[in-house]
Amino acid sequence: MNTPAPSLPAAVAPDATGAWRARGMRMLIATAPVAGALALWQIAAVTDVIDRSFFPPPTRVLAKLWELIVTGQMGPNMAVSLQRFLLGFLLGAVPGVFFGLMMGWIKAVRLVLDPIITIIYPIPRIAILPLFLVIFGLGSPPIVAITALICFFPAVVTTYAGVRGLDPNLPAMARNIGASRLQVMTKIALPASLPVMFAGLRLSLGLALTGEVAAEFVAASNGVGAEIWRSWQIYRIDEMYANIVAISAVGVILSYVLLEVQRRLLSWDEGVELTK
Amino acid sequence: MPLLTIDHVTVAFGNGPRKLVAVDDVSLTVERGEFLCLLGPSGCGKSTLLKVVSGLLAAHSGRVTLDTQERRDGLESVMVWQEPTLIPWRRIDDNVALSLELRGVPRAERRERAVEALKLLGIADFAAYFPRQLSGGMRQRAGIARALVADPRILLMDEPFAAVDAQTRRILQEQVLMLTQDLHKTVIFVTHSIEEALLLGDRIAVMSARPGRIKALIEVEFPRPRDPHIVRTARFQDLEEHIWDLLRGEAARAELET
Repeated sequence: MNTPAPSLPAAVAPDATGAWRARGMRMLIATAPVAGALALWQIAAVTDVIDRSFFPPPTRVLAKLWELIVTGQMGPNMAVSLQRFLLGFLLGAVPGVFFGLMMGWIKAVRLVLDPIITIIYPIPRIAILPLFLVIFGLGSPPIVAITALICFFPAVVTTYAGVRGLDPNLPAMARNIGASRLQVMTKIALPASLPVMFAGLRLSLGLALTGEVAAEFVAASNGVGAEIWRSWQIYRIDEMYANIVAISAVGVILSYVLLEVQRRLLSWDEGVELTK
Repeated sequence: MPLLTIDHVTVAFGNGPRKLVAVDDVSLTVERGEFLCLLGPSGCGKSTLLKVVSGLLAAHSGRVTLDTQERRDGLESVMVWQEPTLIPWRRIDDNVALSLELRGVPRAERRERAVEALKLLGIADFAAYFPRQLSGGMRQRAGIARALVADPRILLMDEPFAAVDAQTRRILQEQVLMLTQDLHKTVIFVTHSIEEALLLGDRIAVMSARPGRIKALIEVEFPRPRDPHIVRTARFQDLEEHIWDLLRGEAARAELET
């Protein structure tokens, strides 16, 4: 029988400086291509190799972004976009997870919803936006609705897959040891489907942000998406870039937050490390 | 009255010409504190019979009755599965104490009792580990500890050592022998190993190939407490040979069918 090894023997423990060096190396490898591409872009733009009116140098984009922030133009637009996005995400992902669980647990729900979802799933959700414009008019409501609709499907499909992928022996074991049906759900089925559910939420997040911005192009006069569209129409290319950078940063941050929540919640799951 | 009475139990799957009789008119009794082994070739219905006893599966006809006159808390029967069937996101102690958690026992007491059971199996040091960090043998020990914590009237073990290597298996057999003797547990133990049945059982119900019937009931004469070294005695080997004679034809038949 093995004995536990609470700490590694000194001989194989990586010494601290070595670990830091390895980490620094990884960071360098990860950032170098991006930094290199930006540098190339910068050089090509300032030396007029590429047309500056289409591809303003990154430094100018950053300067513009800074200007938009300090003059107070960015704040309200970002706030309204975030509000629409988060509300849509909530209204789409929460019912998505709920129905995914119900489909996995209750046969009747599965029989009713499965064909409906199978039929609707391949329809590009953004195509329904004009319908929402008819129903809700312009402004936030149709944008929130389309965001919610986009979020719903990945959430429902992956949560359902998560419940179905459960080791069937675990519920039997729990029942045998005295668990009620409800306890099997809360103690076994729900936590077991969390990893797949999170994968679905991350997918939802990316798709929904795309949908939110696209909807703002046509359905709103404020918000970052609307700003991107407007700056194109009036040919303020550096402003367009600045807004693209801002909304992309939001996407990266939100995705990171979700990943961090997942990592804390599911530290037992080996797959978490792999999907990072 | 015996603790458990299996009365003319028949289990069949499917209908019509494709009907498959897994267990055919089996009657058995199990006394309090008895260790009964169900021995038979693969596919003879021994695990099916165990599932009927546990209530996981309904019998086609016949009945299983448990004498519940003696009042006590806790579960009637608990299964030790072929695979450890641990919950991967729970620490070992939280896995082992699951039955207590379901009954609303506070966490501190739960973990304490889990560690007590883990001590009996010699893996108390691993209480705070996750299942994937343990070897197969240790995981199976945790599965046994979980059943002990649940403290059922009757312990049902479904080839619990089938999935571990030969040496671990031997160690686990000796551990279960000691534990069940010390704790006076009533056990039904399914196995296809004659040696295992002889080492552990007070009685062995030898089952035939499908449809599963009781072919012979053998009293194991070795006194308790039993020493694991009895496997080397001539008497043990004679008995092993005798049971193999009973089983040989059945095992061959079972193999031809599958």
